Amino acid sequence: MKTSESSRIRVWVSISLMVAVYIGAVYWVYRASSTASEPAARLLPLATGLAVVPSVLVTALGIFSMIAKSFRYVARVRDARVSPEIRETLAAVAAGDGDRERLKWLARQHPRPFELIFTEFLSSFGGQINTELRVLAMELGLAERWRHGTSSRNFLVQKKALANLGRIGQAIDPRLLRHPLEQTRIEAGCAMLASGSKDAPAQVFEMLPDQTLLGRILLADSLRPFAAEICERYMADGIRSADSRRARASVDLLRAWERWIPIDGFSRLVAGRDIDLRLAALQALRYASATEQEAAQEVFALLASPDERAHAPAAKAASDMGISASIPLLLNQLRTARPIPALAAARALAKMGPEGQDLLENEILTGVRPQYALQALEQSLVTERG
Amino acid sequence: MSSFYHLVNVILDVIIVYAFVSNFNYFVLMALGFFVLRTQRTTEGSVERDPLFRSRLMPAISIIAPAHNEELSIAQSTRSMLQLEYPEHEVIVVNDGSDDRTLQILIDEFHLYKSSRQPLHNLASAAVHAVYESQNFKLLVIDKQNGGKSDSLNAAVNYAGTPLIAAVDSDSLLESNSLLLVVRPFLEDESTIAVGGIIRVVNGCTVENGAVTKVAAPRSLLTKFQVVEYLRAFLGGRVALSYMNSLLLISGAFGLFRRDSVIEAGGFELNSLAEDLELVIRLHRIAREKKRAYKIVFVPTPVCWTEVPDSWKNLAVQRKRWQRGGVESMWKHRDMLFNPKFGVVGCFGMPYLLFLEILGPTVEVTGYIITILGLLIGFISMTTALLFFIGSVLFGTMISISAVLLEEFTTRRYAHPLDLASLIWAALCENFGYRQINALWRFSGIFQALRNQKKKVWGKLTRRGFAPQAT
Repeated sequence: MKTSESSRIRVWVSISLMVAVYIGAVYWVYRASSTASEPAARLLPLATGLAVVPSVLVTALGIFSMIAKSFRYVARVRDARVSPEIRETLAAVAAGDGDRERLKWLARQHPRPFELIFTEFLSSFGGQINTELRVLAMELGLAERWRHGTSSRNFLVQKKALANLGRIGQAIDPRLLRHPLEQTRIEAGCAMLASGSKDAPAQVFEMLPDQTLLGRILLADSLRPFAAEICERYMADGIRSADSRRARASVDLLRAWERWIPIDGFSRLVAGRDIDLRLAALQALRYASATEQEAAQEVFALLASPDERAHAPAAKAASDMGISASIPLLLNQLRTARPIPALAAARALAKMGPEGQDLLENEILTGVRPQYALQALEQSLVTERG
Repeated sequence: MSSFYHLVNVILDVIIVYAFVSNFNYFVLMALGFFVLRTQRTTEGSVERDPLFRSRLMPAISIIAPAHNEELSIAQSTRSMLQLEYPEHEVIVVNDGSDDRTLQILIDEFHLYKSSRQPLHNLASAAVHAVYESQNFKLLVIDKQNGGKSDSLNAAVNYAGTPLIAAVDSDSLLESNSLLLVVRPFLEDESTIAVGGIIRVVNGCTVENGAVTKVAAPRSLLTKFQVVEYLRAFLGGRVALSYMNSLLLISGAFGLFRRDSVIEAGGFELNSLAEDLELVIRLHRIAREKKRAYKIVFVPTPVCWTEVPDSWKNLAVQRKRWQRGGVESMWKHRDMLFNPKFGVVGCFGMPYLLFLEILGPTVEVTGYIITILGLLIGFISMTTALLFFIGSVLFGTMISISAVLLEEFTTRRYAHPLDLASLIWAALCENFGYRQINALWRFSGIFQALRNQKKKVWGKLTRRGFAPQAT
């Protein structure tokens, strides 16, 4: 996710501090080591100071990191050894016949692998086992730890905490939906949806316009189970909105889901809007339009649009929806448009059954641009033959 | 005679100041890289791939891979590119007049048929003999007259119908999630026009079915030196330069570009030895001249594994070629240097490239010559020479060790402590011999550039392919 302004400031403050400490240390070495009066003789201690200070620093860091790496390595080996026992005990307790005390001991002694395995179980099991895991999370203090983790400055800790709280159905602080860091907002939104909160779909839908495309992709995926509810209650208002970002986010949501949920008057909602929104909506036209005729009207309008950007996507939409009435417009596009829309028109004709393919054959023999017709027909034949 | 000594002393002072200013600059960039990576590591490496992989909102990508005499690795690398995790991508391999069985292997392996596919753009490139498509895969193979790497890249761009194009080396291996990671800056900011991923050294790693399954440091010291160099260049320099939006180089081995921006820029420069560097500088130039908001970004998470030379001879060829490419690009865009019209690129990025990357070897070699001469003639004392040498080596070692530690504090791809130890050892040894020889190669590269030796060069190195190896 984008680095927030606060972390940008943190980076520059850290750098400035580091450089200041460095220059101070070098100056100290220079003052302490140079008593010579000639400039050349003074230059070398300064230069050596410049090298010695960071070298000492880096050597110390090197030693530290070697020690830390060795510790991590040992910890990883130990975690791998204890993991099977944690898995077995947790599975038995979750199924209702395990040693609860032993599990508590394992959670205390090996918190890291325990939490990892517990999270795996939470996301893998539903039903009675999941209910038991939720109880265990409260009993073992994990829920409390995660709640505390939601305010961590380490994003990885915060993310894990949010996701786990969502999995065990705990409430998520709605203020996190307006957090300055987009990734935190997204995680909070996803966790809120997972927690089963009633207001979550509406709240997450409302936050969509303020997110980047990446954020919208991630949220759209989490909103998928609530698609019917959102389309029924909020989508039309979203598309109709005067705020172009809100309208675009709503249309993007439909494209991302790619589900057959008709929205009343979908084409009319986007018809008079800017071309970017219409082109985005074009890709959702097939499954969001209430009637085929309504969808076809929008495709015709875009095929005939003076804006060239609309022609290639409109041709593709025409072929996806099998609008045979668009054939004359497609043929004209093949003959007169620039290469990309011309090729799109040829491909669309190739998918229009015998009528379109006959026209392409004719175009190969007598047309002004046989190359695109040939390419489209060839691709269509190869696809047909598998 | 005294005026000669005076002149030599002045040159020496200039060299000492240059050496330490440049090293100080590297140090600051490395520190900036560290803080930026620490910030990014927590936020950027944490997105699950499944939602991205499932989404219909992801922009389609054409992977363009020029190939010239790649019969050893072409089938495996093409298969690996086709298997990348991404919702919609096509692979375009360009056979640039290979003399070996590159084309035939592709035809046989992927059941290619001769296609009538037409170019969609008209960037300059050599004549295309034929275009082949696969019946089963989203693969297009362009067979064309030999014209060099830039020429091949342009030919591929001409056939690309997607909004994004990924330029990759056909003898490199992309990690399976690399496209999903490298596309992120485009999803986060619409003004992004180019993104570079990290290039890592595959020598020493275990490769199975076109994927790196175990990351390990190479055994030979020469390849370890190169691992350290790559870490220094990517995790230190490029992260920091990218943070300041003055990144001038996206490696030709793995870069993702907005197709329209590449076409607007006129594609890759023909016969250039550093077509990657030249294109990125041109993209900066166009965006700045047209006063557009834009971003050219480096992201350290998407990995492209590449085989580095394991012989001194091959390495020398590669380094000279890089240096010549750098000089040529700098000369072509010299008007951007210190030109405030080009913002941070003109006032920091270009001077950084000139003074640290291009002139660096000249200053270093001059320093060695004067110090040795001075010692022989007697106008430099042994103490001064030793201090100079120790200072320079200490700083160089510090920068190299910092690069290895940067890797350890951030991405941690080398899991075993012994790998870390061996890379630190290489960082220590690098300054005793390797660095000096490298400076000589690059110095000679500058001379070659000044003599304007131009030809269609692929800069091919002898490769071992991705079979299990022990280098």
